[in-house]
Amino acid sequence: MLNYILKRLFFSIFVLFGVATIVFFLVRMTGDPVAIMLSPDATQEQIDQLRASLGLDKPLIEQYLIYLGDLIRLDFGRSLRYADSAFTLIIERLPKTLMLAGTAMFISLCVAIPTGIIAALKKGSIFDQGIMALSMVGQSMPVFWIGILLILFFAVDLGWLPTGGYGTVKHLVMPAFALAFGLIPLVTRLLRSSLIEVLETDYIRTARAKGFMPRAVIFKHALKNSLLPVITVVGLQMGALLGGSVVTESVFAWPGVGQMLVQAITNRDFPLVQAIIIMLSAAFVFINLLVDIIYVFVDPRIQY
Amino acid sequence: MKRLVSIFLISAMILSSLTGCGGSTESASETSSASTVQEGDSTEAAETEAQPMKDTLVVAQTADTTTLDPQQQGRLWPDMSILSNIFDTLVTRDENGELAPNLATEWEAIDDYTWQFKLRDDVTFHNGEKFDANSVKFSVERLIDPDFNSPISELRTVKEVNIVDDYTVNIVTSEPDPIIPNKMVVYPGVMMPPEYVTEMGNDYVAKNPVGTGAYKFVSWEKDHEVVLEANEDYWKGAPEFKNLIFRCIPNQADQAAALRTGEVDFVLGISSDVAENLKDEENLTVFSAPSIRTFYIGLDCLSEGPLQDKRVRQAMNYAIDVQGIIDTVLGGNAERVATIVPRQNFGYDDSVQPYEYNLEKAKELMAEAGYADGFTIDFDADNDFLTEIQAIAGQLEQINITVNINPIDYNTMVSKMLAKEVAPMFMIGIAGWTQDAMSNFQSYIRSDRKYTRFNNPECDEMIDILETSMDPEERQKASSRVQEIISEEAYFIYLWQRDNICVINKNIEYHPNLIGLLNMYSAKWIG
Repeated sequence: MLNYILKRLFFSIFVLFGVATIVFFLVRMTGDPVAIMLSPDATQEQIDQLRASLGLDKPLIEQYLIYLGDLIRLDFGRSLRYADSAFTLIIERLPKTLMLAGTAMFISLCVAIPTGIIAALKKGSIFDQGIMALSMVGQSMPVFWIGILLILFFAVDLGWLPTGGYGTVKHLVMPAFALAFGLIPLVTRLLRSSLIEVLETDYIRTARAKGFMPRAVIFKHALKNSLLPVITVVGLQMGALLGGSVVTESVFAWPGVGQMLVQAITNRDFPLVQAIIIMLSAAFVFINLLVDIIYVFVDPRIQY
Repeated sequence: MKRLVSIFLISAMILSSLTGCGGSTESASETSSASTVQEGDSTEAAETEAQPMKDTLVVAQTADTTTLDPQQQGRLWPDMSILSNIFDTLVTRDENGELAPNLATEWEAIDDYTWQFKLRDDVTFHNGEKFDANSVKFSVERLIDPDFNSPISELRTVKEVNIVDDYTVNIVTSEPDPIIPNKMVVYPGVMMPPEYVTEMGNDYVAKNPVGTGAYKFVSWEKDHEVVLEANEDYWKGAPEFKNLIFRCIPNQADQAAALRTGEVDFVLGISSDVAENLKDEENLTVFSAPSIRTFYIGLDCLSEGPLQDKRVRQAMNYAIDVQGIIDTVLGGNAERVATIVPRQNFGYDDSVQPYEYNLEKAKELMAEAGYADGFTIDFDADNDFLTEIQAIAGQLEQINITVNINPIDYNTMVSKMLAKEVAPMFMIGIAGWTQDAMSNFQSYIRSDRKYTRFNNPECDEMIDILETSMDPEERQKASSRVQEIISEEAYFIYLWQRDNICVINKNIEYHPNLIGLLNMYSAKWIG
């Protein structure tokens, strides 16, 4: 087990190295930060001077090597715009993004698990078909659309919630639900089909034949086994939520990492974009590893 | 039904704003649309009543400032708009747009290389430090220190500041600079407290600003809001609103919602379709504020091709019905200009007339130049102005010019301009906040400048006079001559200067100045 984890961590370094390399060259294809930083009437000499002081005048390969060297020492560089360490800037905003993603995930699971179970048990019923149809609708509505509908209804028409921003639980409600909307159908459908499959297996029939209470059969035997694919997807989605809250954060003016990423890209703030992407990737890799470890506890047949 | 239509529009807008545009008002200002929402029923709009005086004024912008050190940023929006409430500048503009005393009471050029400023003697910083000649010396020299790496580029001519007495300074330049006082209106003229900055260090100052302005800093939640409170001892008198909050709301649909619920009191530079939706709201006033931001299309007159021919460039100017586009696409919120200088800037010459819309003449000129069958040309289009650009392209089709529109975001375009990779045609809007034609011409006219794409020795000569002469009359003549030449030679396609559309709480009165800087001191409660 420990061996496996170490091996996975070792390979993660290569994944992150790949990410770091790709993001380095990609952002440099998007434009010139210096052209945007200085006022329109800056002279060529002033532009050259600023470029040199930011180290952007060096050959690309040299810049890349300096960047890798810094990364090895866990130095993510200084943001061009904020004139502050990129790492600090991210850490300041990370709790807000985690709070949003975590709440969205919590809401999703609270809704999706019961609905999925009921749909599976009542397979083919009106209830099941209704849920399936609803989740199809839910899944096809993009988050910015849901977001605006929520704002117009709950903030503008009813006046129950603020239109956006950050500060109180009230501010959290709409963005968290908007994010959860995409996730609930996914988990519901997955759990339903997985549970239906398990319910048709021999050991469930045996358990039933032995006269176990139906509730015990479902919760003790069936549910545990049908959760495996759900855990995988939830893990992947948690990573996606961290990055995917970019749109939600913009719609609801939520001051998290996603909103900063949009600004950083707009400003061609290379070090900041690089740092955000690397840290989001690291979170993604780490969550996946965590999911694989959880497998062992859920399914004893799995061993590393 | 109306709501549904507006939801569609809003969603489309968010998509476009996410796929590529800036946070600055440069790009925030417009996603204008020809297809405005038609009036339906407006019954649901009206439910608010007159409110008691608010003591907090909330202003929303599409982005947050990146720093609270006014000498480490160079953007009118969002940064300087917030900071101008905390910090004062040496010089300001009065309601007519003329230069007016601020921290400096008077100024004059005592020779070609020296500007003398007399200062107020009754001003203190928020921390109690006294404002005097040393503050000016410290602030200006901090800004021009190469190690400080300020993005503010306007004071490049300044060599040093000499203290004459406690309330008089001489700003010494390395070459004559006729518009130093104009430059002192915005970020180059910001005054910092020397003792505080020296003692606390730059990193601390960038998070805890101390100025002489109408509002004192309270708190900053990054990407969310900057909270300020009234400076009761302000030398011009305490401001009317006790608290001032600048909130960051990235998308305009959300800004519109926040305006409707009263969470936000004022937004500048909202797009015309969103503004159209807010016109029926009873608690809001929508108005357009005149601005000096002037739009034109840059043409590549140097590279091999049809644009080298003056007749082709003139034909393009004749073929576009600029007034028609202003009236329809821009909803009348713009004014035709003859060249690249807005009416209100020094050096503007009203004897230079805009090209008339004359399709016959355009066709003749094209035929004379040997392009009766037209040609195909690329146009790098800032996607904030796509509707106008499509209208322009459509009109050029009339003289058989096929325009390939390449939509990109503003920042990509500026990068391409600097790298000299921009298409033969691109559209840009320049404010020239010094309100002197010299700034409008700066990067576009003299043959050695970074964005210039033609070569005219007489223009070069005139620019030299404009930039170094201290005699206003001589400068006006040079500026007029440049406008005559660039109009006749049609180095650009000349368009309009465009208003800023503003939405405000109907109980509050506020008129942004011509450059659109959001100094909120003059905001008044009228409810």
